[in-house]
Amino acid sequence: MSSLQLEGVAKGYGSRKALDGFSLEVGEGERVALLGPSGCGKTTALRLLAGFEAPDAGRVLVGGSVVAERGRIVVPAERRGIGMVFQDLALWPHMTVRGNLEFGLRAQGVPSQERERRIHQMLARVELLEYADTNPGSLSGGQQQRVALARALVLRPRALLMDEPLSNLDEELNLKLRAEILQLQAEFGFALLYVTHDREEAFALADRIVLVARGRTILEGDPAG
Amino acid sequence: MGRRSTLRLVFAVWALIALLPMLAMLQRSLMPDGRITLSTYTQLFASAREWTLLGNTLLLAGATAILAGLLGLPLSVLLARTNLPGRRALFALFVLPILLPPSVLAYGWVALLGRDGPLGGLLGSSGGTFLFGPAGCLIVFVASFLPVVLLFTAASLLAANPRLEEAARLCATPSSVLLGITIPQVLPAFVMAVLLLFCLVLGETGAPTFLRVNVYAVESLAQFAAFYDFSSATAAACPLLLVVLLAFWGLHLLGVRPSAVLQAPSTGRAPEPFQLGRSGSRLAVLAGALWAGLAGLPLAALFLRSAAPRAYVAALAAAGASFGRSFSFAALGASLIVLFGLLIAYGRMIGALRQGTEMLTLFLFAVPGPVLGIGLISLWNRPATNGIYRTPVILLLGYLAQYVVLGDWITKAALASIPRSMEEAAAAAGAGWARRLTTIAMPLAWKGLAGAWLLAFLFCFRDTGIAMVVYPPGRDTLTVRLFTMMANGRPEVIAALCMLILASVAAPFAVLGILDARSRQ
Ligand SMILES: Nc1ncnc2c1ncn2[C@@H]1O[C@H](COP(=O)(O)OP(=O)(O)O)[C@@H](O)[C@H]1O
Ligand SMILES: [Mg+2]
Repeated sequence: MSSLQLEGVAKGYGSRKALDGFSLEVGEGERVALLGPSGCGKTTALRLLAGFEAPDAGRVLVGGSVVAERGRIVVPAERRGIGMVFQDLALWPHMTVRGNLEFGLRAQGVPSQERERRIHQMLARVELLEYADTNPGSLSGGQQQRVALARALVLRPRALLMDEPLSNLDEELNLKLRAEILQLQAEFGFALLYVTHDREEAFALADRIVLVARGRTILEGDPAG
Repeated sequence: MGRRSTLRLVFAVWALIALLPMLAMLQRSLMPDGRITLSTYTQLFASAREWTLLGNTLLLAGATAILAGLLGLPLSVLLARTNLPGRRALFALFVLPILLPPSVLAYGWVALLGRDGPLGGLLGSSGGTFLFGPAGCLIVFVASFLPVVLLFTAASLLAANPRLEEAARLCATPSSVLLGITIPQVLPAFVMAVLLLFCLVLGETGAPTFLRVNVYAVESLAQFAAFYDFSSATAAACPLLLVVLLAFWGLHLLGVRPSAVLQAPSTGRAPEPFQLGRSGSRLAVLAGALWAGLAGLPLAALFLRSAAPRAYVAALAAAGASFGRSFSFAALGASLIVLFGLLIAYGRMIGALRQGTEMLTLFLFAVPGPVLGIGLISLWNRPATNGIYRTPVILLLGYLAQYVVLGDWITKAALASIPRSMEEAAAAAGAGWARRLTTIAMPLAWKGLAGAWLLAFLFCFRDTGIAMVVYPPGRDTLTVRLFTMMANGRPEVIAALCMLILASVAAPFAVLGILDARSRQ
């Protein structure tokens, strides 16, 4: 069964078509990279899957059930069980690191003791326990990346969407975080849809690469082949 | 002189214009006859009446701030961040009253509920008892100053990074996102607006006088300054100044920085509106009813009361000259404000001025008008400076001191929207900074500059606090004339005058709205 699926979706903004008959499938626990030049519709594809927008045509499926179709959202974002790491991370500046992790757990109705336990475990896993009560704005770039990952993963999503999360980092940190993402994926087993315009990054992270241009898939294949 | 030193000098000139009057006032209150003494203060505050007045005024301002805050926060979210039908029009309607002197609304309420008003029969004499007192004054103030909360909070709501909400939408319902992410982000702007509003109410004179509520700004400042004893007025002004200082100190302690709050809207796409679903139209009707209850009905009553051409002819005959003066003073004031505001904002942008300068321009905005007026008189009423004291120049200096923040804020946003590279390219082509400013930055920011000018014009035009105290002899402004006419004029003529004021602010306001909508595209 596929975890994430776009079926012939189209999405336009005004007269501009961001996606046009675009299809994509990500299996359970699979790692897929979406590779393409800037402006080709990668972010739009993620936003459709996340539930921020509805497609003009086509269907969006999560875990095999339709979550949006033809201009209509069937299952809203908060009930799709999808995590996302944004390009600018979007850590909430008015909360501590712990607060950033707790918000989602609380919203999902996780009882307080269980919340504590999961936050502790997750922060320990990404080596940020000592920063639990600091403001994310005061952390380094790499640490902020890990907070963003932890915030998404503490909710145990079935799939994780990442939108060029490493594009603003230097080479060394970039390599380190790639390894970290791969480890976390192996441990937690979520499906990963990773957007990038960097070929090398795509090859390093994915089981399968989807090349996109002007809102359409132009090539699919696994990095080895 | 270099760019940085010129811009610093401009700011220093403005700061002197704005702060010297306050210092002169303090000096006069402490040295009424050349020697340092506290006698003016001890005499003034020996009377229980002063304390009662001050207490009542603070209570009234506090009640207005609380009520406007309670209404303003949900209303800003509703009008700025949801898909409420008609939200743009409603926003404009709710903002409109800030452009009118509150006495216009006060007069409208009396026209509505008074003995011969459309709803007068309904309430009988209880309408009057209710209106002529703190309750009536409170309603007028809430309607008049609610826009302060709406404008600041809405601007902050629209400047927020949409990703922050989206990150929350992945795991939380829209209402949790609103309460947990959206509203906490705008709290600094909201708190600043509420405190600012509190300070603005302290300086109001027209509406309380008309509604027979004794407030400090009228009894202790305006009247002392005009009729009795100028030294007492200077002493009476200082407590209000102190209250405003305390309010700003509180802001500082809370970590609210005007430079962070008065942000340029983020250049990215505005955040997605919250969907109201089927309750949308009901909420729109509710918001419309609230507006009607606060401002719409009294304005309509004024219109009905004035509805005879004769009333307008009489109003123009009585106040035509004041009208002309108000237009030209406000136009001159607005030009000065945009000039200084632009240079100050530009100075801050290139790092010649500190971010904290914004706190000072905002502080001057919050100083009650009559206090500033008394300061201006303290400074300029000397034989050597009669050319300022006895002419409209003193009024223009007051406008510049009080309202420069409007030019500062709006041009800052406009300048921020110009890519740095544009100016750098001009610099590389050999253009000096003054040329770059006038040929690159100003043309590219013209919408912002025009908007700043219109907004400054509107605030100078509606000003009552400064003008009431310093208007040059025989040359009153429209708001001062309205104030005097309200004491003894014919009702339909006053109503017609109010309508004329409404019409004169509505036109620039409409242009401002169009400019704003265009710059958001
Ligand atoms: N909210 C929006 N409004 C208008 N145009 C948009 C919007 N989002 C994306 N676009 C346009 O759609 C196209 C695809 O955008 P995007 O999905 O962000 O591309 P990518 O992430 O691959 O760079 C671009 O041309 C972009 O300008
Ligand atoms: Mg993108």
